[in-house]
Amino acid sequence: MADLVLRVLRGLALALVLVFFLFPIVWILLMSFQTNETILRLPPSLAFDPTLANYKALLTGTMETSSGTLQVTFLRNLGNSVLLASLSVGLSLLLGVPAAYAFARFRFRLGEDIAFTLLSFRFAPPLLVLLPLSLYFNELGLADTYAGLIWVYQLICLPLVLWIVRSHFEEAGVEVENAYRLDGHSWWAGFRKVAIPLAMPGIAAAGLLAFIFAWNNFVFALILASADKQPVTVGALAFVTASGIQYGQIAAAIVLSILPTLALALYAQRWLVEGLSLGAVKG
Amino acid sequence: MSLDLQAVSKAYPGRRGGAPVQAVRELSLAVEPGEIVALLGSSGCGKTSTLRMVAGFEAVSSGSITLAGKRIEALPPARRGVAMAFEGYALYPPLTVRENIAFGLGNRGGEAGRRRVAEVAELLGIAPLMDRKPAALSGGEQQRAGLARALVRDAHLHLLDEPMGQLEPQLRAVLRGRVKALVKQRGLTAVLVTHDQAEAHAMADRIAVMEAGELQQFGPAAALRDAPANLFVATFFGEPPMNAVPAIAEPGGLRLRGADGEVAPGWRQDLPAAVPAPAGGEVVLGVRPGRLRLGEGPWRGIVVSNQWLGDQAHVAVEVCGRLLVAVSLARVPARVGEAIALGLDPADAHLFDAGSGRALAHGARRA
Ligand SMILES: Nc1ncnc2c1ncn2[C@@H]1O[C@H](COP(=O)(O)OP(=O)(O)OP(=O)(O)O)[C@@H](O)[C@H]1O
Ligand SMILES: [Mg+2]
Repeated sequence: MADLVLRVLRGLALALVLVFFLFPIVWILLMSFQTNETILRLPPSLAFDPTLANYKALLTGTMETSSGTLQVTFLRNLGNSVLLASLSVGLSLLLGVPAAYAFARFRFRLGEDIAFTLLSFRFAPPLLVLLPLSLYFNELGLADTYAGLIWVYQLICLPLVLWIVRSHFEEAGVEVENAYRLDGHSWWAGFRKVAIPLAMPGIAAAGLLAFIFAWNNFVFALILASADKQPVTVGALAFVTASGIQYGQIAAAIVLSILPTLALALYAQRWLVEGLSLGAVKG
Repeated sequence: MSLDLQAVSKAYPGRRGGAPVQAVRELSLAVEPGEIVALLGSSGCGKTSTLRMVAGFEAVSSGSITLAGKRIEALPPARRGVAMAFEGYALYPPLTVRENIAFGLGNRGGEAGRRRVAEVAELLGIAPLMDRKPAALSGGEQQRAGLARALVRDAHLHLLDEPMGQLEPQLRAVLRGRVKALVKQRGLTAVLVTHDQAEAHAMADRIAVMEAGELQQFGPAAALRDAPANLFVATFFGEPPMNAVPAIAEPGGLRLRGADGEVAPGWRQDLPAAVPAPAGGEVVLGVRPGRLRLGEGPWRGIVVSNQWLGDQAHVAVEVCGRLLVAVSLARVPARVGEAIALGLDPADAHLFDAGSGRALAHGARRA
């Protein structure tokens, strides 16, 4: 009996905490189904007629405002975000995981210094870096290209991947790989079949974090790319129109732009929790 | 198969420009086919480093390694034909104990392989754990799984790095015998690293004593005990360790030094055989605790402690400020604080050069 009371209380407490933390998101979700008028009425009320107009505007690309019809490039922006974030994360995993392995397993001259320099990219205020960077980019012809943006995004992703994955390689230790090599496998096979699977939770965590950081980046894209290459973070500026702020559409845009990250997080979860790919070492 | 190390050295690069760490120096060691050799030495003396070079995880800084007639020091680990039980077990976390043990056999093992896995697991007492993952095992169980994985393999050489360090003494004593029997029955050649002298004694045909990266002596246990090559081996090998007293050699005997380093008046040891002594005559007299005779002899001391351990007495006696330990198989009827006579038979004396620690002479008696 006391047990049941405790369970109920615990459930209540959990629900409270959830409501507290999820409230902004729930509110945004509700907003996304309302018109600007219902959102802005005072006092706010939970009673409204849900409308899909906001989503429709985003998906069709035309926004009706009191001062006329505007073009929205939200879908294009969303596509850009997906493209930029996933390619940058892909590239940083491709470069960062082997580098992390090297830093974890081998001691070489200036190794620590290089690793630290890479980390220090995270300290630099992006705005400071941007001015010289945009000059270089103009000169190199990288300004306003996907390649240029993906490259700049390495400033965000690579250090994360490098340091998180490195610590996982170090934690897993070298002996399991050594045992594998002794059993007649090459160095490369040991890296692929033992080191990587053992470090998989770290790789997944680093990849996910890097994706979120890349996804949320604003300034790099704002300065280095023009409208057709900009991600949602920058594209959202379009909702601040001459006739006012389109709260409903902003809310809908937020909901839509959370979805890819959410999907990725759910997908990565099994790696984060379970970590090892069972059977990766078998055979 | 035979293993031959020739002047193998290993220097690890120092941290941040520091001096390199000389882990192994000019180590030469030959292991015969079918032989079990124990590497014995204190922590950090380079035992694991030696094994890692033989297995190929670490490049030699200099020297050569020959296994089964083939130079292997430049080969990758996969092509050396070596099996190893790791100090840190190194089990594959996602695999069960059974899969771990069978792993090195691959598919070549087949039915015979499966039987061998079951047999070794039974031998090591881990048969009931075969379907568990390593994370669900105690340290000692993981260690036995790691040992089993090495033992089931066919290899030119088996390297066992402290394979029983995590086990309690009773189990260790049992497994020592079983593992040795298995190794001998299959005709395997093995190098065994251990801190444990009893384990080295029980399992190895020959023992290599290392200290600070250098080989001190290599030979059968009896040779190490009866004729230690230097003071380090003499005091390292044996429990409790050999008593060592600095002395000055003179014709017919030794004048021994007290705790203050000065020659103690009246503390002498006759040595009828000619005393081989370096210039200056500075030597160290060594005598095993079991050879020190209590209640008879020309030395006079005070009993500091007298403990009966159930099957032997350990008696500490202070002579001219120096603490000597004697072991007797019978109870010693001396009380703490009492004066006692003691001495030794010259046939039990060992003499070492005080400067280099090198052995000069060993008494004629063998254990
Ligand atoms: N990767 C490394 N880099 C630098 N120094 C090392 C490295 N591995 C070992 N050493 C040093 O080399 C020396 C020998 O180490 P090793 O592991 O061979 O000792 P060991 O005899 O196996 O000791 P233990 O009995 O404690 O296992 C030690 O001083 C150790 O600090
Ligand atoms: Mg070791």
